[in-house]
Amino acid sequence: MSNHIYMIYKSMTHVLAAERAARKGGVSCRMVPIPRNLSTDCGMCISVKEEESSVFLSVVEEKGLVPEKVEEHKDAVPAGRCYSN
Amino acid sequence: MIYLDNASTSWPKPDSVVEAVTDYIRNIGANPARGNCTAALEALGVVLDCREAVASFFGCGNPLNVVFTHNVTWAINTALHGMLQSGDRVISSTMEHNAVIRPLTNLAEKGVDVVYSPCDSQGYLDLEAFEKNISGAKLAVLNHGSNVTGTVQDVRAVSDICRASGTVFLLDAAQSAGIIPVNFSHGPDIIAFTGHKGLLGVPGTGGLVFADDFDTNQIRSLAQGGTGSVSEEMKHPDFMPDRFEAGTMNGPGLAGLLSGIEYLNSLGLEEIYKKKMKVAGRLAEGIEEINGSIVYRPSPGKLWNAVVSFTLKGSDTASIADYLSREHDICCRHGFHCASSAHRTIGTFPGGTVRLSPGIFTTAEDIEIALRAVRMYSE
Repeated sequence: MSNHIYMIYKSMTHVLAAERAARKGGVSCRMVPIPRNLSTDCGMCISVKEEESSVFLSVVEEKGLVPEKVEEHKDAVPAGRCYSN
Repeated sequence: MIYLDNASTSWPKPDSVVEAVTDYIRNIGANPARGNCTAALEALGVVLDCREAVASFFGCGNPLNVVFTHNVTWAINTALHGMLQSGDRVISSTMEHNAVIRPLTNLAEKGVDVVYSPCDSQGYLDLEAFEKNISGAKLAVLNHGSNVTGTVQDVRAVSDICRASGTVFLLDAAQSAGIIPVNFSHGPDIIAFTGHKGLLGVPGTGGLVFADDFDTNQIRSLAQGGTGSVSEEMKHPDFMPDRFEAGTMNGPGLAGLLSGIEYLNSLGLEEIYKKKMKVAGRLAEGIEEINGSIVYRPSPGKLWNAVVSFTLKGSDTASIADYLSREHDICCRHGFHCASSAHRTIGTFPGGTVRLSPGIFTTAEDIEIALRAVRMYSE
């Protein structure tokens, strides 16, 4: 099982925009609620497999969507749903 | 009913717009960016789709530089009140709508130096005078297409003057967006738009779009509140677009606006302009053939917003509008059209004009009925 990285953004709009950019760039990721121990924000973040995180970051950076925080999550696949259009 | 008041709000709306609004209300329903349920994410997806569509429509590279407001008036107020304070200088024109004139009047009372640069009798900005008057201005705000005469200003020339003087240029595209090209490639720093006129959306939508290189920190937010982001902070977020979007978004309205822009894109602006010119041109020429009539519009061949404003010698514009409505069920607008300064400029103050503004669905038959009605009144 891979470790996952949480990409934490300022707002839900940024999360969704980054998730769309990543998907267009061929990076698989999913939107999950932000664990309260990582942020007291009520929104969501993006979970990416550790091995795909550098590609994710380069794809979103091109769109000016650099996360506020990048946090490692040592569990297996986290709970959450994929958002699709 | 013959609807010829599209400069007020476009009607009818494309079926796809009605369906998009209805679908949002019936099947999505949730509050965008509030919570993580499927419906809330779908709602946020609609809003982001709309941001992307608006950004692309105006040639903006970053959808997060699109801010949604209740309407274009609120958008213009956000930019003007958010940027100007006592001691600042702002330049505008004598052809402005009250959406610009009234906030500027309020700001003048608070110590802002407000300059209205002159326009000619067709409503064109005197660029030489503008260049002289702009000195020291922090902001320039200009109506792109007139809601009175349909006169379209030279945005490129005004942008060049603004750049040379280091003045931020806010373009009011209320009457032009969806009819003629409005694009950051023409040079403005900020575009204010409405969703319910040429963009074919529903009332309650509008906003500001910022050029990619514009520093939005120059503008203070006018309203603060819930954004669904950084909720632990007592202070309103300073990042885009939340900086200017306090409170629940108009999800159904933005679904409609998205659909309206998609509809326009499917037809192409060039085709829309040609169609509008055909019906508005026939309407203007037909009225000009009536004895005692004057149509206030740019010279033929110049860009025009498809607004037909006219007077009949010796007739009260209110009486003409009443006759058209009562006897022929024709919707039009008379008087000042919330732009008395523009009427002073073109010489139609205090009587105003009768304004007939065809839309994307106006037919040649509608125009002939309207012409017949105006002829009957004049006889």
